[in-house]
Amino acid sequence: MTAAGQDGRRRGFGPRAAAVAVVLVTVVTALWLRSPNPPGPAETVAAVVVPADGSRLPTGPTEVRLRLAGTPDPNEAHVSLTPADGPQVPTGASRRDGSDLVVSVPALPQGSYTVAYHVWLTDGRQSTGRSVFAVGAAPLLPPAAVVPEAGHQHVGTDPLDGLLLVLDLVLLIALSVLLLRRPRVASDPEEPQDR
Amino acid sequence: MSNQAVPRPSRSGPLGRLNGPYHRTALNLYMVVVLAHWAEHLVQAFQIWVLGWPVPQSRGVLGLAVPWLVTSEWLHYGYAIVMLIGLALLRPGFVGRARTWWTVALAIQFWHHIEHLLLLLQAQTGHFLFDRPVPTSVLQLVFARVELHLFYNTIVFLPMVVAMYLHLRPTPAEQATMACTCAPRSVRALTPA
Repeated sequence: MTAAGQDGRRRGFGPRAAAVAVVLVTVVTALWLRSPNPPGPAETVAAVVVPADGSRLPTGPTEVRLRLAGTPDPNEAHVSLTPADGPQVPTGASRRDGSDLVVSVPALPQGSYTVAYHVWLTDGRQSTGRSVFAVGAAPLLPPAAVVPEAGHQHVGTDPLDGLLLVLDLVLLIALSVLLLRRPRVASDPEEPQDR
Repeated sequence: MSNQAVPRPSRSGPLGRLNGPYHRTALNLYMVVVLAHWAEHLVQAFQIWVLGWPVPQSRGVLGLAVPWLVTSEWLHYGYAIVMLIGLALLRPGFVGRARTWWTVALAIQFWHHIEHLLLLLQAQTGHFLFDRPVPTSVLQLVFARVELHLFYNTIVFLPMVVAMYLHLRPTPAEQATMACTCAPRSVRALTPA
């Protein structure tokens, strides 16, 4: 990474050059992020839910399918299934089937169920909504006031996340200074050197 | 974990060279990866809190070019593996107090990797732990709101920075046992015991 000069000191990519490189990369990245039109409120597209909204089924479905006008991102899809009385039904992981988003569901007893969903498409659009269906002779009830559980995110807007990021920024600066400000290695033929 | 000046027997083979003459270079490369990872997360935070972008569209720099990659559980598991391997392979080059802190980082990272493995298996199989409707980590049983990846990387990063500080500024006793060139000779001679 460095080479020994005639005066016995190593030359090469020194701390100042590294600091300049870091600043340049930061500025260019910031300009690049500012240059495109910042994404405004994402366009919302409608989804066709299967089982259809308001439908009555003799037996429970094996899956819930969202038919979308675009490619859904299964990692940014949250679909919940909630009975009229009781806790949310555990469903399978979201998977993509063409332009459909599919989640498998377990055997459902008769009752009225609400499907709540929020799906991001890979082109930046989103789809959100609720739908109800009934199984067996159960009455079809209005949609329950539920929102799909979001699971875990990798960077969120929670204040705890913000606190962690501030700590990380401090640590990142400390490590950068530590690496950039360390004294140069003096040339010494008896000392092993990295190359 | 002793600070005694016990000369370290020279090790041969790739691991010996990695933790001897090439430790400085390998550690520099490893730190570049670590810093780039944090820079990416801070860019994401900048997009969310300063630019006001929606969270799913705030994908850092890498995610602008390859959107699917950032949301992939594999990416985060892969980074956890790279971190774990790096911490383990570069550990023999650390001595004294620096080694203690580096080992703390390694132990936490090992558990972090297990957590990511659990999430990955849940995402792949569709069977979720603790009767939850989504993939759930053990940590989320205690801190429901905290973000797993951010939390674990922070508590791994903290002892890692301390270890780096101590490794680059060793005491003479620690310096006597070092086989690498990370701490310059002039610094080693000047640093008080």
